Amino acid sequence: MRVRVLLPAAVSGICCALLWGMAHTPVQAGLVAPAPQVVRPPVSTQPILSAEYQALGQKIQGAMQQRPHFAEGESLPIYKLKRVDPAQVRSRAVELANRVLGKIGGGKAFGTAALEADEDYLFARNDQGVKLRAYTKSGFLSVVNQNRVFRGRCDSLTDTQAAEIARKFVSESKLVELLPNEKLTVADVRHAYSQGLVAKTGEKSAPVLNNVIVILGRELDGKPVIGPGGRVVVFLSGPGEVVGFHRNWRDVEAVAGEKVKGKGPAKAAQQVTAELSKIHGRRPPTAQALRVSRAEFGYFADGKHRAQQFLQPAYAVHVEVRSERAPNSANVIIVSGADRTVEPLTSPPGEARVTKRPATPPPVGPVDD
Amino acid sequence: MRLCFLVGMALLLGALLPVSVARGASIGVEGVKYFSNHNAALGEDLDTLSYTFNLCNGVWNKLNTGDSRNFYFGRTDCWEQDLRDVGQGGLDSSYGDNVDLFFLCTHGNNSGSSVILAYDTAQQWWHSDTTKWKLGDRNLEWLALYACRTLPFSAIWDTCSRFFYGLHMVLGSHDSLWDCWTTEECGRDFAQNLKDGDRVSDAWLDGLSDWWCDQNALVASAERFGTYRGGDFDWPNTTMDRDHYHGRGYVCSDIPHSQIYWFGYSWID
Repeated sequence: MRVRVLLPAAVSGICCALLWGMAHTPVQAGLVAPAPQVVRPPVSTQPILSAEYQALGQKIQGAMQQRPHFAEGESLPIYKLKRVDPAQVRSRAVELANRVLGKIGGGKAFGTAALEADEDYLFARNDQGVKLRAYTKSGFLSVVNQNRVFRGRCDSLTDTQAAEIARKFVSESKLVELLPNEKLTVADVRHAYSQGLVAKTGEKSAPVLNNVIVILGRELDGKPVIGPGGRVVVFLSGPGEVVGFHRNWRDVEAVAGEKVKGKGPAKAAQQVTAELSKIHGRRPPTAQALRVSRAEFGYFADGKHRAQQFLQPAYAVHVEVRSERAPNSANVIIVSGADRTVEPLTSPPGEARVTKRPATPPPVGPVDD
Repeated sequence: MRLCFLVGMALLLGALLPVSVARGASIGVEGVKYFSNHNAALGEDLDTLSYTFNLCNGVWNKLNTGDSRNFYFGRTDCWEQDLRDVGQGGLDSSYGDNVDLFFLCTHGNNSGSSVILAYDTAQQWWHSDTTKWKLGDRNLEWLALYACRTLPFSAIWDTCSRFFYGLHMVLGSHDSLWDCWTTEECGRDFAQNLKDGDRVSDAWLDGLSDWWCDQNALVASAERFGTYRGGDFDWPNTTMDRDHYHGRGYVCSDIPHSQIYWFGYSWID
């Protein structure tokens, strides 16, 4: 009986002694009331990330720091874009298409009345298979000879030669008007190929280079424009003939009156990691599995479907998670490169417009050739 | 009497025409956005595909003509069985192989001989096994997979030679396809190209390219002996170069499995 009473008392005594020993001060030990705090520490707006995400964040930050980036607090201009007038897009598309038609594939000239419209999309094709399309929200324009894009040969053309031909074509055709503070750059060179293999044996033919595709980009005051906007894509075939182009290019009207403060890679990487945590949830990939294939900074120019009023600083980080046997994933995270935005860079993803799956499969239709 | 005949003919045409027009353009669309069930079951760490439904909505909105066979399933309504051959316990004759075009957006890979597609419900499995597919023996012409690395070069032969049973083309990828704000438009661009009357292969290669993200689109097509010409391919007469969406241009006839002599493939790198 005495043992039963004394034993718990002894244990609690030992525990108290241990706790006293572990506490650094009487305040921490809870024996003395703490002094009232006057200044509260700043509350972080970033979610608290697990150790796994912190490791990912470090990897992302490392990748961003190794590449050109905005400096923290750097004063940056915002560029106001010219308003896109749908009526002008139609007439300009036809005028530009007819100007280059002889070089690209010939055939009948396009007329404004022949353009079919589907919401903001305009489309026409001439008798020689040249396809003209335009988007009236963005001013996107494309003229492509469909008999020569993704087919034919251009084996002897080097990327350097292709880039020179593309630049010359853009300049001679006056596809873009550059301001004194603007520069046309070679952003990338890609290639279209074809090949075949025998079904029974797997024997492969040699691949054929169909097109060299030169992607010309843009710099404003020495800073790159990133995103699908601000690009002229030129398709080349044969010994170096231009067989099509896309012009996804919004003209700058002026530097907007206000400036923003640049965000350095440390803060930007935090934000990218937070975005990554939203899509990976509680199961982040390991830092080893995650590959940062590209980390870019610059002024973000959106795709062809959207109207845009300003070019604003942004970062884009392209991350991939690869595995031998499990499905892979590839995401591009776009975050602001400044302390604030004057127009949203992106919008929330869309919702599903699905049909309901029936409880039993529907009747099977006839075999169709 | 003559009036009766005319009315009868009109009724007959009225009954037949919509069917024949619609029959040529049926689509199935499936999109998996979340993978929480999949990850919990398999211990994988697949991320949410944020723009899945932007991609799928784009295809559906442009190409859904109201054919009774059309369907658009999302999330856990997307089943691996929908592409598996009915003889292998699948439901392809009711879904994947019961339409002309089937578009699927999910995470992907390739094991070397089978396309690995991730599903968020085990109906019947969490991953596809394409060795159990037999596509095109009923209807399917074009299988469009917006998923990573479905047809890497080293696996094209071993993968495609197993499941083309009248299927004209697989529209897939040799490496990553990106989930991104700027590639959310790929579904509608692909569908718009089909509607414009572009070749199906062009519609995919162009539609998936925003020329900023490194999209790695690839198209593989079934081809006949006649266009092989000892390896000097007669491209203008291939399925790759001739196939258009129904009602938008020439459509090649199906090539039975036993008559496929070679596979053509085109890609952007």
